[in-house]
Amino acid sequence: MPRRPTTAADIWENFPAAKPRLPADGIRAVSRRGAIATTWWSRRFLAAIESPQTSGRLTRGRSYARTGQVLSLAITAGKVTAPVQGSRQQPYDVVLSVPVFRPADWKRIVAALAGQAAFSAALLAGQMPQDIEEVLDDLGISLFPTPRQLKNECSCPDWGNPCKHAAAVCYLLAERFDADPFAILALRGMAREPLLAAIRAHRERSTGGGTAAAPAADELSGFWDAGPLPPLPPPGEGAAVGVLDRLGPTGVTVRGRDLAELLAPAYEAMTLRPGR
Amino acid sequence: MQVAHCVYNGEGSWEFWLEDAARLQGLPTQRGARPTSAAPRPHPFAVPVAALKDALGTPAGTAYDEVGSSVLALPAKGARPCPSRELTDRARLTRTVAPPADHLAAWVVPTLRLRPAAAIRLLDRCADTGGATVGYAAALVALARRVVSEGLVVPSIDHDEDDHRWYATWEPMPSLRLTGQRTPLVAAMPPAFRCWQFDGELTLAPAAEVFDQALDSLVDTFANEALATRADTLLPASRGRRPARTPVAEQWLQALTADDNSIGGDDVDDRAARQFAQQLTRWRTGAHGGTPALVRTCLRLRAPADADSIGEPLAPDLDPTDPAASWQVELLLQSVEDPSLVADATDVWRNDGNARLFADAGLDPQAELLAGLGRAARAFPPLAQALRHATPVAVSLDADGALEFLRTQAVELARLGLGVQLPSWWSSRRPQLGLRLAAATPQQPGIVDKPAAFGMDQLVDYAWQVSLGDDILTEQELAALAEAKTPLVRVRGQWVEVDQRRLAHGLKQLAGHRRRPMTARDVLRAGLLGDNPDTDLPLLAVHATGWLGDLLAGTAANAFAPLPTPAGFGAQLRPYQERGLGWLAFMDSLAVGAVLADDMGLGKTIQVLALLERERQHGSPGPTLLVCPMSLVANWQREAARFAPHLTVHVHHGAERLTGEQFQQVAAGADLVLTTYALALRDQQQLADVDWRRVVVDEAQAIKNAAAKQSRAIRALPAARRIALTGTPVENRLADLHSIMEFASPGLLGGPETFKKRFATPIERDGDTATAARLRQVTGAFMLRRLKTDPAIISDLPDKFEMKVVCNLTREQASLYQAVLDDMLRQVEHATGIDRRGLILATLTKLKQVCNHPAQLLKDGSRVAGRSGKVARVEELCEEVLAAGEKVLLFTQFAEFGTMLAEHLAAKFDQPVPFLHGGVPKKARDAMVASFQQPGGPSMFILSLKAGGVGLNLTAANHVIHVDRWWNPAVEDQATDRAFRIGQRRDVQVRKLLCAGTLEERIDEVLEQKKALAEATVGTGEAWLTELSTQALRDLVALDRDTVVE
Repeated sequence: MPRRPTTAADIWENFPAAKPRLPADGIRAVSRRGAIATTWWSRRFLAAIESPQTSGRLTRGRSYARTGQVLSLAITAGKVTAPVQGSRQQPYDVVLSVPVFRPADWKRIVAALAGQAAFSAALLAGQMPQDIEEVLDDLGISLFPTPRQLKNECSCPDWGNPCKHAAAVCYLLAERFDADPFAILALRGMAREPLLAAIRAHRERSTGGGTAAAPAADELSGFWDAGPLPPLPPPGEGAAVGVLDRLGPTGVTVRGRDLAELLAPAYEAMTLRPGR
Repeated sequence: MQVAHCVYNGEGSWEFWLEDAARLQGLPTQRGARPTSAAPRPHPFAVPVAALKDALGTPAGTAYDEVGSSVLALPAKGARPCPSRELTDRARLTRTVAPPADHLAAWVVPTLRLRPAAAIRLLDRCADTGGATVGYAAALVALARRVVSEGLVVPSIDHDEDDHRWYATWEPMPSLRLTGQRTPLVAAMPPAFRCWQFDGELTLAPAAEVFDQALDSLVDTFANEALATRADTLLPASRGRRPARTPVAEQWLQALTADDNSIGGDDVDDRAARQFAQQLTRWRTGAHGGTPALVRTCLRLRAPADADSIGEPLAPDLDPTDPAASWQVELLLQSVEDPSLVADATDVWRNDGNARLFADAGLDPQAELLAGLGRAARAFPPLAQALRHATPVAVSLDADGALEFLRTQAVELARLGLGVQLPSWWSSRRPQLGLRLAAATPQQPGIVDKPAAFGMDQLVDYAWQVSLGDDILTEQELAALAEAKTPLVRVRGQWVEVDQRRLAHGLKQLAGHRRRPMTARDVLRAGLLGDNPDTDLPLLAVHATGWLGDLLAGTAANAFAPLPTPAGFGAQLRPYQERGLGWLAFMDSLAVGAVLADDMGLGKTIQVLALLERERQHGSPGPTLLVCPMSLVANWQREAARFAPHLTVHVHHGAERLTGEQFQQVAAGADLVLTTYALALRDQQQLADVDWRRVVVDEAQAIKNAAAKQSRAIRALPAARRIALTGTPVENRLADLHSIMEFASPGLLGGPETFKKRFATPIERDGDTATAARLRQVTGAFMLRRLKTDPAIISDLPDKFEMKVVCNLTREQASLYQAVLDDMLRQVEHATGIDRRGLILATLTKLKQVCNHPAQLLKDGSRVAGRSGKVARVEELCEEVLAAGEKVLLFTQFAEFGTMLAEHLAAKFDQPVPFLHGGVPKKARDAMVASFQQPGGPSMFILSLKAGGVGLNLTAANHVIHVDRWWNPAVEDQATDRAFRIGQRRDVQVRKLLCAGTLEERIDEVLEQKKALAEATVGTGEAWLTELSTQALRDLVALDRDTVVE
């Protein structure tokens, strides 16, 4: 039986690694050592690329993520594009893609999320709701892409899947998910604002609230007309917390004292009412 | 008929223009077609440039910046602009003259261009003739004025791209109170207000943009006006050297209040300015970036509307399924700047009520509420259930849940940045269920002793009660409370947290205590320390009448009248000393121990002597034993002789002190027996046999170590009355205080371990201020401490306070003194003239050296410690000065002694002690003085009288010690004035040290008796001494051996 021919991948794996160029303004991972993703949802995402076969390239990918080789990261529906600085002058182009949910699926997802305030509340507080997977599973939808669904392409010559460049992008993406769970939903086809608006609309349909936008005034026929002017609210009497108190110290000192402290007399002069 | 219009032009200026009906009427009726070219054409009936100023009128103080033309987009029909609605209406124009417009066209219109300040005044003026734009602009002005008068502005730094200069400006601060105005005002803006054309394209500027720019410029103007008229510069006075280049922040601050808000002319570091702009932005927008949070999610706990209340008529049985019967946590959205402005969740989900106001301010109320709930869920688990609903409005809780919310979750939620509103009855001052002790004060005994137990050991009548806050509960109410099934119960209309098990247990325990006798001491301990008889119920209050009440309230020191200086007393007491005397007599009459802890120099000795003299005049009641450090014995003896000469004083010290029966007899017949700490231990048994009326310890910090043999011996001395004197009640540790209090009022503060656990550890280790305050209150009942810095005391004090301090000679000093003396007396018989004078002067010097220290005479470099009474006293004085964090000057006329003392004090206190004498070069002197004057500099400074006596400014010190005497008041006063100069705002204490029984003391007496003579003859120094006869000289310098210490 003839020996299995050496694959290009083997060659690249064993090739003495050229040192990557260090870009000045790449995105550096927040995590300095050990695992990169810290939340359950970003770990669930990374499960799509992590396997015993990929561990070597993943380790290099993590190190790329930490040294700032990834120059930028753009998330759009179904696609993440990122230039990654390798050892060559020209950065490699990494494109990750995952299938987006169909509009009909999104409709059902929005309905499910609007059904319980807990989902929006968690997402808005920066958490992926614990039971969101379960709820989507019931709808026959998988929130996290399977290994087969997560495709990555890189302009580098490494045939490994993922290559270290794509791995670095995955890790930074995971950190993005840590900070903002909406980003996962955006990747699956619906960005934060449209999603919140859809949920709100769904909610308002059920509570019967909502306001119609005021019709735009006709600029030509109403050219000289002012709309109804609102009355000024009554002057505040100490209920309002002072601006300086709200903002706290500036951190800038002049002649040994914080600016906020020095500005106090100006506020006193402005708020001084005649006869008081 | 003219109509005024205005536009805001986006270049920071306002432009006014006028339509004139007369000019319109004069136009030929031209019904031309719409021109093909879009190029701006002159407006046919606008008032032309030349007439514009007069037509608008020139209000006083209005500076017309510029008259010219601008391009405006106006409605047109055919080739002519249509007149405004106002002109049409007011001039009653026909439809032929004023047809409806069919397109917008560009017109060149003559305008008056004004800065905002001038525009504001002109707007006021043309309110009547103006069109909708003028009315609208007036509304913006009113809003801007309000924004500024509410202080809702933030300062900013702007770069003008045209003139490349930086400006300090004010901007409106995002605020719900006023951003609620923005949406309606933007919607109400007439298109005519935004018709100013920037370039060739014919468009109306977006209303929101015009609104923001116009408001910004008005706000900046009003803020500047307010500052120009009411604030001086905001820059603090400069300290230290000016930097080579003024920092941008400083230039900016200057510019904020300047007439012209440009910063620093051309001398601005652009990079620094840009960086400063970023810092300001970061400050303005808060840590998260974006606008600072205007609203937050708030949780409000509501008690069941209708619940049973113990102590009130019972409500009809409640239906447990009724939501009103359960506790509710309502979910709200709350304005951060005005917490009273809230929208409840129902409004938020329906976008109704106040939620609309929030939405008008550009917020998404639902997202804001949900984000807050998302964060709250972690700290408040019951919320999870409510969040299962699509639009939750409240969380229902049972009483246990409500208690958990009140006790812990509310705090945690607030920590997470959520608003929490709790019922008003739940506050730190909410009524608590606990015990109250009421005690009737015992009869106050007279000043004269009675054999029966009185004072602290007297039994008192008392009663325990259970109360809710101030309300004493009845037996029935208590029983009902104990049987209640929930931890939150309504009692007399108030919600109360009740732990039924503890309550029942506590009541049972209390029943046992009700029969136990209580002494005044027990009541004090209960009231001051909160010591309650081992029940689980907290002791809320102890109430007592009479002197017990005074002690408990800590007002004892003020609760009685000061006593006048006893007749025949050798000095007039100062007002605060008379108060001290009154207090000592009061405490004495109760047989309650007293700690007189006045600052050094306030006259503790004299107050005690006055007390003794007063007693003596009321019939000698028995001997007082006074224990003090050896170095103070002579001082006490002298002070007693001087101020209370009728007191029988016996000094129990020295090798020849009385013993046995003889001592007992003398002691019993004396008013005051003086002894030392060392002897109090050595002669412990002998002293214990005397029936003392009182024991006084001076410099009570000597017994700060409670476990030391000496301290135990002192505490064991039997006496009904005790007084501790100390200027530093807490020298190092709080345990010092405990030990002193243990002497004065044994057992009151509990044992050392209890004290440590209860007070010392929380205060010293944890910095617990509440505990410190309680300790102050507890000790305040038994301690009178006045500080020199207390304004009430300062007014009683002279500016300069001079004292003589008498020291003892040690045995070694006494022998040396005698030897020098004998030597001189042997020679002086045969000497005459210059030799005699020389001999006498030399001897005087030697004697003074002996008084200072034996080693000074012997010049053998031998050990310093423990050989001189005077040095011992100096050490003690320095210790007190240092403990008070103050500074002292020490003057001596002997350079060698100064060196010796400097080394000795430096070693003893482990800090540098500079010595300034004639041999120190000028530069080094200046350095010494400068370093001493600094706050962190040395605390002790030794100066030779000659070198340091003049020309120096040493006001950092407020103590002066003349270690030895020059016998020349003028020279000494001059030295004293180093510290007592203009600039010295504290009182200065001057101490002149004298050795008892030596020439020092006797010369001082001569000077005191013959002050006038002294000034005449002694003014020249010591020369007069040499003219004395041998006998007179002998009398003057002879040693009185009584004053020698063992």
